[in-house]
Amino acid sequence: MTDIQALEHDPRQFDYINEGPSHSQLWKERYLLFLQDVTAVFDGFKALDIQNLGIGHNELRVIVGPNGAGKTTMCDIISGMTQPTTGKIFFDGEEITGQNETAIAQLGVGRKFQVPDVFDSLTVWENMLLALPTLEAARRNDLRKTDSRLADLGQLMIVKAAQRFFNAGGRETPQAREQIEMILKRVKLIDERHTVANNLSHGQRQWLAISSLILAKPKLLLVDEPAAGLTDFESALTAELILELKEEHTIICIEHDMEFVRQLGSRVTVLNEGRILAEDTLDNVQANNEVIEAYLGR
Amino acid sequence: MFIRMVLEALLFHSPSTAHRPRICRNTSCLFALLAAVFVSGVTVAQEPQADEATAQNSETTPAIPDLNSLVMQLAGRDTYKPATEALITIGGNDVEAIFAHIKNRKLYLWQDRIVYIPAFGKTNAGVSMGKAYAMTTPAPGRGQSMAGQVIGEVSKPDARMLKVQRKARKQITKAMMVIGLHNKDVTKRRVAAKKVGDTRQGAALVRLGQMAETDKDAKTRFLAKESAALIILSGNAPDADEAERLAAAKELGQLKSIRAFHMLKDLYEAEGVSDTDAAVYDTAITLIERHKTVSQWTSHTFRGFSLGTILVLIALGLAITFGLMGVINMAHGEMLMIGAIATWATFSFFSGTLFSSENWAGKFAISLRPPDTWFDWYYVVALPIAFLVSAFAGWLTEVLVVRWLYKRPLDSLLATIGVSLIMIQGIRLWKGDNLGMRHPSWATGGWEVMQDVVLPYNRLFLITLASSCLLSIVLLFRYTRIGLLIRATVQNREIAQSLGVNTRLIDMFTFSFGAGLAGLAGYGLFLTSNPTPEMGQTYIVQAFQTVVVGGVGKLIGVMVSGLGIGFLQKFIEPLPLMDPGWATVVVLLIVIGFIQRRPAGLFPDKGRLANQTDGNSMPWLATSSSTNRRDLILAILFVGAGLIVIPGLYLTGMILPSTLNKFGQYLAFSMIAIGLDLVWGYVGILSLCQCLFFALGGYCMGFYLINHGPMDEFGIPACLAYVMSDVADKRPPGYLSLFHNFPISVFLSVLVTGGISFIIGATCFRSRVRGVYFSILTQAILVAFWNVWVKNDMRMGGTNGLTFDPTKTMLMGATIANKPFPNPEDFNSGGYLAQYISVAIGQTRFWLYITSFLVLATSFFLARMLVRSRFGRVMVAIRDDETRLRFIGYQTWVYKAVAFAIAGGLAGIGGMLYVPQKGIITPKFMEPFWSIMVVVWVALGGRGTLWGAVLGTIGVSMLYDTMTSIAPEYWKLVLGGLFILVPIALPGGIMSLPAVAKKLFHRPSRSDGTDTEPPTIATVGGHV
Repeated sequence: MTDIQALEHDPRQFDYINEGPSHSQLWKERYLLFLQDVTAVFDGFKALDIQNLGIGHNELRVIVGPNGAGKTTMCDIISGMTQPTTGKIFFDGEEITGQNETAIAQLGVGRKFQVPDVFDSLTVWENMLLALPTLEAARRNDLRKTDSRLADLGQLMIVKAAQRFFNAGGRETPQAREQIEMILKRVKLIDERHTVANNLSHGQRQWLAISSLILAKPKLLLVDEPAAGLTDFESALTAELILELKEEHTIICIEHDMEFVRQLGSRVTVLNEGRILAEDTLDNVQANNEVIEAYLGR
Repeated sequence: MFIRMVLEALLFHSPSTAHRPRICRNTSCLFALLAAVFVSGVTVAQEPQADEATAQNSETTPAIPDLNSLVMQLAGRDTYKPATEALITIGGNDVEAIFAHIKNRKLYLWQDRIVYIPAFGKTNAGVSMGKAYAMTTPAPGRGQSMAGQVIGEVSKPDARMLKVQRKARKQITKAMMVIGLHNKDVTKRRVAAKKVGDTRQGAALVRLGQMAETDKDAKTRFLAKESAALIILSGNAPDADEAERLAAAKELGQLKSIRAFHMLKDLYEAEGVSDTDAAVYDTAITLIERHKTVSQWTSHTFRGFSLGTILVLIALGLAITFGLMGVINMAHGEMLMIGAIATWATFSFFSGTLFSSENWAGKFAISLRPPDTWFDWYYVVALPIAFLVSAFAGWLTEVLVVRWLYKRPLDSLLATIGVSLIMIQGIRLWKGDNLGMRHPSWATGGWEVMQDVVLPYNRLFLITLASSCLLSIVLLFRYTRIGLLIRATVQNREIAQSLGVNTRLIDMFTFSFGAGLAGLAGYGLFLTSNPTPEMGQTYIVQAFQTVVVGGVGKLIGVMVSGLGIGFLQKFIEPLPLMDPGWATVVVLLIVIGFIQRRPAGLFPDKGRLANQTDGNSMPWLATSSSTNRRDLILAILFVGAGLIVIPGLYLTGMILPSTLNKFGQYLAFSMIAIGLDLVWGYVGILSLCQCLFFALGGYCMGFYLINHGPMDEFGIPACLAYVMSDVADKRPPGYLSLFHNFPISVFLSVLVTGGISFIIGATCFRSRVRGVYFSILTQAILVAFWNVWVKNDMRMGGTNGLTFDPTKTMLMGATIANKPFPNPEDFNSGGYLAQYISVAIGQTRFWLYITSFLVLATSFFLARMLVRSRFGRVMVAIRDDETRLRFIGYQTWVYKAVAFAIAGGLAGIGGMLYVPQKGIITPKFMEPFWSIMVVVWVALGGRGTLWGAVLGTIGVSMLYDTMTSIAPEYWKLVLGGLFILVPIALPGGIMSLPAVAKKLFHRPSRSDGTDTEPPTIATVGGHV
C-alpha cells in the first residue's frame, strides 16, 4: 500500500517507461487499463503507435487530437472491434489482447459511439431493458449475488443456457425497473419512456445512449464525442453527468470541444498521427508548443 | 503506336495530373485500343485453311469394265472379300464414294449399270422418280471423272438396290478407311490414318509405312507411325515377330501414344509375360502416363482460365455497380443475354433471316441482307453492336428503375429481379426459346499447342476478349478523366456534386458501362454456347459468388476470385465421382467455407457501403396502440372469411371443390411468407431460399404418402416405379421406412427443415456473413440443393418429382381424391341441398382446407406472440443495430439462427400442407424463382407486419392464377412490373396504404408523435 501512496506523490507519475507488467500486483492496483507497445497498421498505414498508456481506477481521461490522430482507432482496439498489429492490452489485471468485442464487453467495457447508437424501432424503456446486463456481464461486474446453494448448479452449461434464455431480451424484475427509473430520472428521460427512440431529439438520443451504457455498470466507459451536436446547455448537463459517473466508473472520453473538456477538468492526453504527443492538465497542454504546432500546422 | 500508348500509360503510376499522359484523356482511345487488340486476336485465331483443295480428284483406272463387275460381286456371299480387296487396290475417290453410297443404301443397279440415286420424289402422276448418277461407266465422249454424271431420271421400280450382307458391310467400312489413306485432302487422310490404327487393319500397313516417311503433313506422319505401331503390337501384322512387336511397344512409348495405353497395360499385366518384355512395356507405359498427366493438367488449366476470365468479366460489371453505387443488379445476367441476342440478331441479319419477308409478314418484298461473302464478318460487326445494345439496356434500367434505389441493396435486388423477368419474357415473346445459329468459320477448330492438347479457337478468343476488356477497365478507371470522376463520386457523392460533377451522368455512365461489359461477355459466349433467353441465369449465381469471395469494391479481388473459382471448378470436374452438377456443389461448399474465415471477401472493402444495415427503416410501421385495433379488425375479417364465408360458399355449391383446393394451397404458401416476414421484416435478414424448406417439408409428406399409396408386389411404390426401373437394387430407399407413422412424419419433417435451416443460419451468422452477402449465399445454397436433388441416384423422382394417385393414396385413412358429387337431376330440389352438403363435407379436400386454415391461424398467432415478446425485442434490435447489441453482450448469431430455423420450420409445415392438396411435389420449388416470389408476396403485402405476409401471398397468388389462365405469356411481364414498382413506389406494401393515404390527404400531419406513424426517415433517393 505504501508503494502506491509513494507513487501517487511521485512527480514522475506519468513516466511509464520504468513501469510495466512486471510489477504485476502493484500495477493492477494502479491501472485499470494499460496499453503496452500497441501499434495498429492498416494496409501499410500506421494508424496508432503507443508505447505506454495507462488509465488508473476511477480516473476520467480525455483524449484529444486533430483529425486522423487515431482516437477512434484506439477506442476500436480497446473495445475489441479491431485487433492491434503488435502490442498488449491489459484490463483489470488480465491481458485482453485478441478477444472480440462481445467478450470484452462482458468483461466490463462499455462504449458509446460517435453516432448515438440506440434501437430506433424500440421505445426508450425497451432500449433500457435490452441494455440490462447479460448474466455473465453481471457476474463479472459483481452485480449479482448468487445464492450459494445454487452456485455450483449455476456452473452447469445447461443451467447457464436456461438462465440466458430466461433473461434474454431484458427481464423486467422489480430491481431492474428501479434501476432503470433511477437512471432515466437522472438524464431527464423519465417522461419519454414510451416514446419510440426514433422520435427523440439528438441530445436525448445521446443521453439514452449513455444511459443504456451505464446500466450494466461497466468498469470502463469509452465515450466517443459525448458533446457532439449538443447545445451549450445540454453540454453542461452532459459534463455534469460524466463527472457524476466518475465516482463509480473509469471513463475515457474523446472530445473536440475544448470548453466541454474544460468543464470536465481532468487530465488530457493529446494524440497526433497515432502517437501520444503530450499528457497533462488542459492548461499545460494548451500551452505546449508541440501541441500548438500539431493543431495549427506550420 | 498503340503499344507505345499502353506502355506510357502503364509506366506512369502517379495519379497527379502533371504526369498523366494527355493521350489517354480521351476515352475514345480506349475503345480504339480495345478494337486493336480484338482485331489482332482475330487474326491470330485464324486457322490456316486446309492446305489442299478439296476438289474432287480422280485416278483413272485401267480396268473400267472390271469396276462394274467388281461392285456387283460385292453383293455375293463368297465373292465380297476378294472384290473388296481388289477395289482397295484400285483405290481412288470414286471407289470411296461407291463404298459410302453402299453404306447409305443409295447405290442401285439399273440397266446393268451401277448408279447412285440420292433421293426419290413423287411426280405429278404419283410415280417415284429419282436422279441417277453414274458411278462406274463414263458417258460416251467424256474421258475423266465418272462420278457425278447424271444419266437420267429413273423410276423406283426400275432400279434395284444393291444390297450387301452385314459382313460385307463391315469389310466395306474398313476398306473405306484404307482407301482414305490415299485421299488428297489432308484432313481426310488424318482421319483415315487414325481409324485404320484403331481398327487394327493389317492391310494398311504398307501404305502407313509410306505415309510415315513421305507425307507432307507432320500430324499425318505422326498418326501413321502411331497406327502402324499399334497394328504391329496388336498382332494383326502377319509377318511381325516378337522383336518387332517389342520395338513397336518401345516406339509407342516414345511417341507417347495415349491410344496405345490400354493395350500396353493389358500386355504388361498379362500372365506369362517375360521380364524383359515387361520392362519394355513398363517404360512405355510410364512415358505415356507422364505425358497424359501433363496434357491433362494443361487442358484443365486452360479450361479453368477460360471459365475464369468469363466469370471475371461478368462479375466485374456486378462489382462496379455494387461497390460503386450500392446497387445489386440481378438483371446483370440478362444484360449478358442481351449482348448474346444482339450478336445473334447480327448473325441473322447477315444470313438474311432478320429482315426477310417471311419474318415480317410479307411487308418487305425483298430480303435485306449483306452479301454472302461478308458472312464471317458478322462477328466483327457484332462486337460494337452487342456492347451498345446492352449498354443501352443498362441505361434504360438505370433511368427507369435503379436511380430510385441507390444505397438500398435489398430493394434494388427485388426491383432488378423484376427487370430480369421482363427482359427474359420479352425476348422469349419476340423470338422464342430456340435460336438457330452458325458460328463464323474461323471459330471452329483449335490450336494444337502440344500433342493431345488442343486449345479451341473460340475459347482462345474468349480469353483475349475478356483480358482486353479488363485492361481497358483498368485504364479507364486509372487514367481517364471520367474514371477519376467515377472514383470521386463513389467516395463522396456530396463533395463531388459541390465541386460541379454531374453525378447523375456519372451514375448513368457507370451503370451502362457495367451492362455493356456483361453484353460483351454474352458476345463472347455466343461462340461457345447457344443463345437462349435464360442463359443469363446460368452465370449469375456463379458471378455473384465471385463478387462475394473477391470482396466488393476492389477490382483486383474480383479478378483473383473469378480466376480462382474458374480453376477450382475445372479442376474438380474431372475427378472421379464428379460431374458438373456435383462440381458446382463442391465449389459452393468451398466458397461457404472460405467466407467463414473471411466474411468480407478476399479484399474487404472497409468503406461504409459494405457495412450498411440499410433498407431497414420502415416508416410505415405504426405504434402498438393502433396496431392492436387494426389487428383485431383484420383478425375478425380473416377468420370470418376463412372459416365462415368460404366454407359456406363451398357447402352450398357456389364455389367448386377445385377453387377451395386453390385457397388451401394459398394458405400453405402463406406459411412460408410468415416465416420470411419473421426473418426479413423483423430481424432484417433477406433469405432467398425459403422455398427450399418448403420443398423439403413437401417431400417428407410425400414420403409418407408414398408409403400409403399403391405399391406393386415387391413393395416398390408406384410413384417411384420408373425411377427404379434402371436400378439394380430394387428396394425402395431406406429412408422411406421412417415415414410410416403420421405424427412421426410430421415430427421428422419439422426436424429436418428446422435443423437444416439452423445449421445454415448458424454457420453463416457465426462468421458474421450479413446483409446482401447472406442473401446471395442462400441463393447459391438453393441452387446446390437443386443440383443434388434432381439426380436420379437420389431416387426421389428426379425432375419429375413424385406424383400421387389421388384415388389410391391415403392420408390418415382417407383418400385424397374427390368423391363424386350428386347429380342435380337425380334428386328433387328439397333434399338436394342436404345431400350436397353431406357429400361436400365428406370431401378430404374440405378438411385439408380447414386444417390449413387452422394451422395458419395458429402459426400466425404464435408468430405474433413471438414478436411481441422479449425475443421479438431482440430480433428488432438486431435489425436496428446488431453491433450495439453485441457490445451489450448478446450472442446475436444465436438469435438469428433460431429465427431462421423457425422460418424454415414454418416453410416446411407449409410444404406438408401443400402436397396432399396439390397431389404432386417436384424440385421445381427449389428453383430460385419461387423463393424470390415469396419475397414479393411479403414485400407487396408489407414486411414487418405479419398480416402483410398473409395478404400479400393470397393476393398475388390469386393474381397469378387469374393471369396464367387468361394471358400466360404476359404474366411474367406483369410480375416483373410488380417487382419494380413495389420497392420504388410502395415500399411498405399493401399494409402501408392507410398510412400513405393518410399522409396524402391529411396535411399537415399531426405532430404529437405517439399516435400517428413516425415521421418518415429521408432516404437517399428522396422517397418515402
